[in-house]
Parts: sequence; C-alpha cells; structure tokens
Amino acid sequence: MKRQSLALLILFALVLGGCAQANISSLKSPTPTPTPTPTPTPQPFVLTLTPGTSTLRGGLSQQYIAKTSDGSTPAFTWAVNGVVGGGADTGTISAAGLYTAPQFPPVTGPVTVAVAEVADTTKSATASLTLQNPIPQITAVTPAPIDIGTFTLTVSGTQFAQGAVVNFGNTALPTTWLSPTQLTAMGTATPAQAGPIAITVQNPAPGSVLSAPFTVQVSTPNPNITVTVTPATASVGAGNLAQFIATVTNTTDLDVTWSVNGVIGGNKTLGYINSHGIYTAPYATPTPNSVTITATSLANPAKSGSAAVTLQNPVPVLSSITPVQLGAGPFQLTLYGTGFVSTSTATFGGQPLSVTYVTSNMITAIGAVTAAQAGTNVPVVVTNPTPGGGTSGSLSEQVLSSSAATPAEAATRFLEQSSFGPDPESLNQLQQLGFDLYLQNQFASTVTPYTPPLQKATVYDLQNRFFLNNIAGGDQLRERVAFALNEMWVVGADKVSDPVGYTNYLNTLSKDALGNYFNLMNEVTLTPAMGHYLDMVDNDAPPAGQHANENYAREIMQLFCLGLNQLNPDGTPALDGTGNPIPTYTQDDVMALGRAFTGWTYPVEPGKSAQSHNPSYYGGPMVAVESNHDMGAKTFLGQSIPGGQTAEADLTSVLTIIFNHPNVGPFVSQQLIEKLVTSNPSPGYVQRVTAAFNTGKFNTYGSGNRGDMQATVAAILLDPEARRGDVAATVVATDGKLREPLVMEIGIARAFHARTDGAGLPYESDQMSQDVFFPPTVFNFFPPVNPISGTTLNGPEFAIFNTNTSLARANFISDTVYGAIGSNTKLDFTPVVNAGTPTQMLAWLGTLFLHGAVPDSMAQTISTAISAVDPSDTTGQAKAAIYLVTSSSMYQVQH
Amino acid sequence: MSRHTRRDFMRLACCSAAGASMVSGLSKFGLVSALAQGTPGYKALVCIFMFGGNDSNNMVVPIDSRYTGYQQARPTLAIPQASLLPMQMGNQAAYGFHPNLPELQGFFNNQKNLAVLANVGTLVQPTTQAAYKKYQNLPENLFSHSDQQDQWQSAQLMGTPNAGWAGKVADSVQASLNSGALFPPVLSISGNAIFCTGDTTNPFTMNPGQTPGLQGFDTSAASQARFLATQQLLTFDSGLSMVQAANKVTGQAVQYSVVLSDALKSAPTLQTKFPDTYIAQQLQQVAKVIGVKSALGMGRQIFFCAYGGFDTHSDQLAQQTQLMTQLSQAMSSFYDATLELGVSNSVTTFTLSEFSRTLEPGSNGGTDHAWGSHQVILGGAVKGNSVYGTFPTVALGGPDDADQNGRWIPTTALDQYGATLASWFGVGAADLPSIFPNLKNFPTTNLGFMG
Repeated sequence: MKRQSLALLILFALVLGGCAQANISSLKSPTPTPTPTPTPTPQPFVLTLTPGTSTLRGGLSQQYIAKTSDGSTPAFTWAVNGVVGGGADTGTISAAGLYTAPQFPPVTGPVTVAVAEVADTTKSATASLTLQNPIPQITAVTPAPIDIGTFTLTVSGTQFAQGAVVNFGNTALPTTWLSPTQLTAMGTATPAQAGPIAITVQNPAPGSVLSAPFTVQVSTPNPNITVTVTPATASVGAGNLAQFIATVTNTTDLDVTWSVNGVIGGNKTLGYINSHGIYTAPYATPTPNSVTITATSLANPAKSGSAAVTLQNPVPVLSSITPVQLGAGPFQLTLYGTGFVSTSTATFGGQPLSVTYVTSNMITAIGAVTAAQAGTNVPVVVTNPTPGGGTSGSLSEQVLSSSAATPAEAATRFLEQSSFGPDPESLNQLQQLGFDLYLQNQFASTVTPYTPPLQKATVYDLQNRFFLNNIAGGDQLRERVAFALNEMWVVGADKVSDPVGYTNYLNTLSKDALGNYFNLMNEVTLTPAMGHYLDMVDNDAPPAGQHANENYAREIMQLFCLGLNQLNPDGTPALDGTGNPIPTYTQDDVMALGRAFTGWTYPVEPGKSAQSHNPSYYGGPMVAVESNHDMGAKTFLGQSIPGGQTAEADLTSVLTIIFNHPNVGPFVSQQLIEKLVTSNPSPGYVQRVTAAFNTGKFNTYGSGNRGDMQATVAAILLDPEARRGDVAATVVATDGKLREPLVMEIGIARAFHARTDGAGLPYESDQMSQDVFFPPTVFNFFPPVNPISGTTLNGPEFAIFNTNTSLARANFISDTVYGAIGSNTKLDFTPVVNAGTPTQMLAWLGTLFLHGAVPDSMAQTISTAISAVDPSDTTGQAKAAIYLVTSSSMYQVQH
Repeated sequence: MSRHTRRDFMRLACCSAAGASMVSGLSKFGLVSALAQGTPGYKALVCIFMFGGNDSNNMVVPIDSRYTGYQQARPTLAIPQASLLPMQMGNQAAYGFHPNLPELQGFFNNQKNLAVLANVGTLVQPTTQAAYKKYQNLPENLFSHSDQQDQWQSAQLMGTPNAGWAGKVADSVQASLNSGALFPPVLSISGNAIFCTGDTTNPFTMNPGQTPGLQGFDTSAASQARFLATQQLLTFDSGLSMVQAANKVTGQAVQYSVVLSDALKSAPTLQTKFPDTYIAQQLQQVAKVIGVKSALGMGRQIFFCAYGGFDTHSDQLAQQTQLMTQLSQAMSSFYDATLELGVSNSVTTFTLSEFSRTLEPGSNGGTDHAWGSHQVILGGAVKGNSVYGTFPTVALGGPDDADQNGRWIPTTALDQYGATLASWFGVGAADLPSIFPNLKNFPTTNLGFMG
C-alpha cells in the first residue's frame, strides 16, 4: 500500500506538471543570483530566495524564505526539480516553503528549489541544494561481547546509507548493507583488542559522515582454556590419511585452527590438514621426516596442543588382486590390502608396474603380459620405500594362453554396459578373455570396500570416496550394479548425513549386488540409514487416533520391488477385462504393511543400554522392540499374516510375500536393463531376464535360487538385444541410453587413468543434476519411465537433461580438458597425443569412446577444428579432439 | 500503477525537461521500464510447486467453531488456535493461516490480492465417497508422489503424460500473444518438469543465479574453430534416435543461452531483497528475467519454481514450519519485485502440490499421503481476500473423507483451477478442453478468482 500511494503521488505530480507546463518552464529558467545594485527608480521587481545555495543532510528540514523587492506578500508556488511540492526522491516542500530532504540523497545530484508567485509565474527564483547522507546512528551490535577470532557483526540502527562501512576500532570491515536499519560486517578480533572497542558506521559520500561510537566488549581470552591433541604421536605413510582430535576444555568455544609446522592448513611439502583434523601426509616424504600438528584455540590463540607425527611408511600387506586371470598384452590390476602409500611400487614377475595410489587399502597398477608369461602364474608384490617401508607377500596372477580376440567394438560396448567405462587396458583384457571369462572374473572379484569413515569425516568425504572406488575398483560390474541399486533403493544423504550410516548402507548394496535380491531386500530394510530415511525406525504400533507410518511400506512396494501396476513377465502391464491396468496393491495393503513394519529402532551404541527408542546410531542393523510392534493379524496382498507374530517374524512374512510376487522379476529386470544397457528394451528381452531372475539360472550362471543376481546380470549383458549393437549390420536406431552424468564423468576419468583424491568431482556431477547420494527425493534423480519430448521413446536420464545440464556436460568436459577438477585431479592425455596424426588421434578416441570409428562427417568437422590448432601443439590438437568427441551426443548417448 | 497505459506515459513524459528529470526518480519504482519498453499486454504465470505433498490441513485452518474438530482429530499436530493468523474477511475471520505465513496473511487481509482455493485436487469428475470405494472413475495411482505430481502438472489423470498444462497453455497463445518472442515461453528454474513441455513448446531451464552457457572458449582462432565444430556436431543426423534427441536439447541450449545472457546484460538491478533460500532465489531469478521481458520480446511467460521437503511422514511440525516461512517470505519478496518492475498486476503466482496429507497423524509425528489440498494465488490481478471452492468438513470419516484417515475427496478439480489461470492468461475457451481434458465434467470452468 505504501508504494502504491507513493506512486499515485508521483502520478499526481506528473499530471500537475503537464498542465502547468509553461509555468514550470519559467520556474526552471536560469535566474541570476540577485545582487543589490544601485539603480534609479523605478526599481525592477526582484524575488529573492534564501538560502540561495546550501547543503542539507538526509531527513532534515530547511525553511526557505521568498522575499519580494516591493515588500508585497503574494501567494507562492514551491517546487523541487520542477515538481510542485517536490517528491519522495528529491524531497518535499510545503506551501510555506519548508523543505524536507529525503532520507538518502537522490542519485541525480543536487536539487533545485524554485519559488514563483501564483498570480504571476514570471516572478520566480531558484536555489541549489546539495543533499548529503544522514548521520548514521547505531542502536545495537551483536554478538556482544565479541570473542577473539573471526566474527560476523550485525549492526542495527538508523540512517544507514547503501555503501555504509562498519569500523571495528580503526579497522574498516567488509560490510553488507541489508537495509537502512541493518548492516553486517565480518572481521577478526585479536587478543590485543580484548576490552572495550568502539564500533562506528561511516555513511559514504555525498557528505560522508561517521556515527557516534558504540562501545562493545571484546572478550578477554580465557586463560584456563586447554587444548589437547590425540593421538599425541602418530606414524603416517606417504599420502595416507590420519585423524587428529582436538579436545578443548574450560570453554564453550571448541573451535580450533589446525596447522602443520605452524602453517595453517599445511602445504604440499608438509602435508595438508583440514578443518576436521584430517591430515593427509605429503606424497613425497620430506627431510626430516617428522612434522608437528598443532590445534590452536580460536577463543584463546595463546592456547594450543600438538601431536608429533613421524612420516614413515608401513610394510604393505597385499590381500587380493582383481582380476586374477589375465590374457596377453596390456592390463590393469587393482591391488587390495593395507599399508599402501603414495610412493608404493609393484612388480609383476619382477617387472615394475606403473602404480597409481588410491587409498591405503587400494592401488592400481598397469603393465603388460609378455609372451613368455603365457600359461604361467606370475607373482605380484608391493614395496614401500624408506623411511620404514618393506615388501608385501606375493600373490599370483594366472596368465592364460591366448585365444581368439573379441573385436574392440564389441568389447568397448560390453564394458560400457558392465563397468563405469573402458580404459585401454581393460578393453584389451576383455578382448583377450572374452565375455564369459571376464564375467566369471568379475563375479569372483574382491568387493571394493567403503572403509569405515574417519571419526570426523563427513558424507562429502564419502562422495569423494565414491569416485575413487568406482574409478579404481577392480570389481567394476558389482560397483555398476550397486550404483544402480543405490538409485533404486534410494537413501538420500540430505536426511541421512551420518557417514557411518551411509557407508554401511553402501557396503550392503555392494555385498548384495551380485548376491540374491531377497537378501538385498532384507538387509537394506534393516539398515538404520533406510530406517531413518523412510521412517521405519521408531515406527511404533499406533495408539488410538493414529495410524502406522506408511512411508516405507508404500515405497518398498512402489519403488523398490513391485511398481504400481501388475506386470506380465515381459514387463508390460497386465490389463483387466476393460483394458485398464490393475493396481498392484491398495491403500489397505499399504496400511497393513505399515503395521507389519512397526517395532524397530536403532541398534544399541556400544556402552549404552537398550531403550525402546535407541538414540541415532548406525553401527549395525536395526533391532526389534517387541513391545512397540503391532501384533495384530494383517491381510497383505491377499495373504493372511497371523496375529501374535514378533516384529522379526512379521518382517520375514511380508518380505517373503513381496519377494514372491510375480512383479518382482519383470520390475527389477526392466530397471536393471535400463540402468546398464538400453532405455527401451523389448518385452522379449525383459521376459528373458525375468526368467533368469525367477529361476536363478542363466546358462552356466547363477545358483538356481529365485532372485539370483549373477544369473540376472549375466542374462542382461549376454542377451542378443544387448549385443546386437556390437555389429554395425544389426544396430537398431532406438537402442541405447543417455549416459548418466556420474557414469559419464567416471568413464572419462577411467579412460584417461585419472589420479585423484576425488575432490571436485561431486561438484561437477551436481552441476549436471546428479549430486551423488543427494537425489532430491526417494524417486531418485530421474524416474524409470520418462517420455523423451518429441519422440515415442522412453529415456529416464533425459529427465535430468535440459538446456542447463546439457551445457553443464560440455562444461564438465571443458573443465576436464582445459581447466581443472578440484585441486588434485590429473588426467593423462598422452596416449592421445602420442597416437600420431589427428586422424590417428580420432581413431584412438573412436575406439574407446564411440566403440568404433568416428563417423565420417563428424571426423571431418573435428579435423577442421584440429587444423586450426598450431600444428606444433600436438597436446592442443589432442585436447580439441578429446573435447569434441566426448562432448558430442554420440558419446553422451551410450548406444 | 497498472492504470497507466503506454500512451499516457508518452503524453506525460514529453511535456518538459521536468518530465525527464522525474524519469530517473521513477525508474526505481519500475514505472519507466514497465511502460517505456512497450509490452502493455504482458502477462506471466509463476508456479511454485511444493514437492512431497504439503499438509494444507495446517496451512489454512478453521478458527471458528470448527477448530475443536480439527484439534481433536490431530491432537499431536494441531496448531494452537491463538497462534493461527486470522484471515479477515469483512468483520469475520473463519480461517487462520499457519503462524509462519504472516506475509501471506498481510496480502490476504490488507492488499487483498491473495486468494485461497480450498480442497482442490485431481478429479476425473465430481466424486463421492461411494464412488471412491468402488474405484469408479478415479485418477490413476492416487497417493503416489510421482503420479500425482505428473497429474497436477499435466492434467492428464491416466498413463504417463507427454506434455504439461503450462506447455500447452503456451502452445495455445504463442501465435496470438507471443509472436515477438525471441526466447521460449516457458522457463523452469527448477529442472525438468512435465508441466513446462507443450506439444510444440520446449522449455528453457536454468538454475537460479547461473546463466547457462558454453564455457572454456576464447577469441583465438583455434577456440573459435572448436566452438563452430561443437555447433556443427549438433546438426548431423546420426540416425540414432537418442543421439538426435540429445542434439535437439543441446542445440536449443546453445542458441537460447546466448539470447538470454545477452538480454540479462541489460537487466535492471533489482532493489528488492530476497531471502537466501532456494525457493526465494528461484523467484529472484524469475524477477530478473521478467525485468528483461522486452529485450526477449515476451508477451506471455510461464515460470516453474519448486522446492521439496513437504513429505513430512515424521517430525512434521518442525519441518513444515520452516517450509511455510520460506514460502511466505519468498512470495512476499517476489511480489515486491513485481511492484518494483511495475508488473504486479500482470504477474500471477500460484502454488501446486501433489496432494495434501492425512488429517490423522501417523505413528511418529508426521502424516501420510492424502488427496485434496488448499492452494494460494497471489497477484495484482487476483480477486483476493476470499476462500474459493468448498472447505472440507474437517472430521475423520466425515462427509469429505475418502475413508477414515482424513484424505479429502477434492470438491474442486485441478482442471478448474488451471483453466481459471489459463483463461486469465489469454487461452480461448475453445482451447481449454484439449488442455484440461476433464474440465467438461464440471459445471464451472472459471472459479472467478482472477480479475
């Protein structure tokens, strides 16, 4: 309302101005400042306006006096900048000549005050008035008192002009103007400033002016504060992580600043330490090989605690290698164990391998099988250098005699579907081994673990770890299926931010990804992560007037196992007599299932006693509290569950009913096919995979038990419909899928042998609408059914593909090739540079990214762009080629 | 302010130098940009989608004699009567807003430019309890988030929709009212939503505060050659359906991101402050784009904003409190921005959410999926200070309850809600049935809340 009436006022002024055009013009005409001149009679009439030229601060008033030379007292019209009565921006003037300045000066500069006789507007005078900012006044400052260290002040008061600056003593602070009555400013209080300090606000020009000081206290540092760092001594291997904990006493301000040898945050030479006390030892051991980690109290910087760290390598332990079988030529191994360091080396039959450090539990190593090694077992060992260090025990790799090689086109496609993407070595090995041996090795592979998070780690650290595991892990097929399950059995880290909880949930997915679907259902249901995410935890038997929580009950059916409508084994909807789909379950089924899921709470934290609702704790499966379980009889999906069953018994009953529902096979098969191979599988394809799921058997794969995931996954990957794109003659135009951003991102990292700590990679995926572990809802980043606009095709990933994210994908490629990902990620483009001519570069890229030659028209366009690069800059040529191939839709779509 | 026409302004502005000096004074309030840029017929619809299913039982609550029934049905979740914000209509206040909606209360009571639409939802036809229990002509998959979101956004109550009602509304008026548009008529600030896609309309999508664009290019010959190649690669026919579909989106992205970023370079700086919340930042982005509507040649625009967290199966009171604060403050700032831009009577903001929630509490401090819900509509063209539709009887197992848990059978259809907005926007009566296929089953096609 205020603004509307103001606008009306302006409108009124406009209209008035319009009607009185001539008068206003004369008011505006330049009038020389009247000066007394001795002139004979008759004296010319003079109208004098005082003050003639003046300054005035915002909000203040000034009386103008118009005096006629003939002593008459006619009626006057007063105007400001030509507007009778003035206006809100320029100030107002009353009929009696009392001018009131606006609170803040107009950006247009000085204003002109004009007066004219009403009866004869040629009799007029003007005065120039320079408006200045008002004097600011402080009424309150928070926080008070101000603690030593960094602070953000909120300053309240009046008459703060835009551009006002808060002074802390004599220091001008970076200030944010929020309103004429509120500012915020950031700064740092030093121990020397303890005691009273003056806060002032300075309004800027015009008329820059300081407020009266407002005194606040800077806290005297608390002399009783102590800081202790644990462990007090530690030995850390090169590149390894170590957690340090600062215990601060005698204060509520527990924040500390971490430094290494006095360098806050550390540096490359000494190692880095983050704000959570997680220290990363330097990749190259410095001399001397010891550093001091110090935690300094923010509340009293004179108080600190330290730990003495010896940078010394452990003896590595090699526990397993993936894969265990190799064919001829180049290979990449993932070595699992403990005590690996950034300077670890490895040998294969005595020959050195090219090692990439990932974590203390995992390194990768690239080498090549020699002709002489065919048909032999070749020992692999890992060695850590001094200081400390040593050599691991030996494990054997079985080198097979060579057989007919699978074509590269087919091998690349198979790896696109069964892994996070090919690299040259994995491509060669699949060519050598063939699909079946490759699958058998994958099914037998070591599970790449999510190791327990460090004590102060966050779910963001776990996001980085996701990239490390999936770039470097040898069990690529398991990880790809586990990721598909992570997007099906969704737990969002926005709600489940506990890294232990999320870690255990991820490890459950990995463990069951190539196991049995019933175990997956049972074990994920009981993770506290899922329990918290979908509210099964502490879902008690409802008292009168309430009903059991329906969240998990609904979504385990709708999203995880059954879907909304009854399905045929080929995934098409079963229809009723009138051609309509038949709902899988009713609202009554949801409510019955909600009751069956009552009575579960968090596990008991070690050292605590059990309660009916245990406090949040994620270190194991949920536990039943029978007194909170609804023991009543239930009817669920047409089956009776007797009354009096325990929470465990009810859980087994309902999960068994769900697991045996005929929808599970086609529902799970369709979704896994979409995640791995194609968005539009034919009913026949779904039916064949459903048969594998239902029988637990596909060819030689699987246990024969319903829900066997190895049989299901093998059926998906070896189906003729998955393989028909391997040969140009049988390509079907509608096959394939848009790559998920995360799969694309990891695929590029793998292809170029990324060395990374993972930092920065989650940011890139977030830009592409796939912030790993943070889907917006339990419905994942994208739904399984999503029509592609303008087509009759399904394209789930197109639900996060739009004008924004399509460019974000290209910009991710740009960051990768021309910019930087995080501060510690390096991709190796030398294989492309060394491929030779631009044509050979494109051939290299085509094989790895397009499962074959780059199509002619595309190759010509890219060659033209390459030819614009200085021919001596072969790296620049290779980068242009990489950018154009990988940002193209031909790569972004897995086909 | 809207009473000005462009002609009025020209007349006023040309009269003198004094006029010119006032222009600078006025520009702060948007009169100049509104009038001088020459889009007298501009209109915009701004959707705020509350993902997860907002519990509107606690958003608009009866505070008259019916309050007791509400309180008894959800004792653990009822908001105290005294803290509800009375919605004054004449000298009566039968309803109160959630305590964290003071800005919306102000619009409703004082500016009278905010309306409430009660118990609206997905309906094939007027529906009774008996019909519900027999599953007669119900929307598919009631109580499912994804399906109900799709239905609210598309007005298609069966199957998977290929287009949304905003997209189809844009299709309908594109030739007649948007012929000068240099930019897509629908803009999403919140990712993909079927709401935005028409039969011919393809939306533009951006994040708040980030104008999309291809990065990593400079003016060197090599870089320019690579840029050209990037664009050329988008035009080849690979023969592969998915590749072509991706090329189409990326091609539009490259084209329109340039148009938008050029236009935004001349955007006026908004004085209106927005809170630092996701929904407010989205609405601020909408205001910025409305600020360059003339540079983009827009006569009609539809915007999609959304935020989540409404699926309050547990801990509802605390969760919804924050969400309501965010809604109220964001809508208030956005309305102020439309005042600043001089378009407050041309921009209508409205809420959608896939369903309301059970009146009966669930077993751990939350509620579960329900059906009919209350929504709010704000703007200078809204006939506010009124509750439209029929407020349900707030009683478990009462006449409006689908069953026993307080899932209201809607008494107003989504189609009627959408058609009322679409008609104001300029969609002709002849086009409404194809956009809102079930509209024909309801007696009223215009609910009357738009002026």
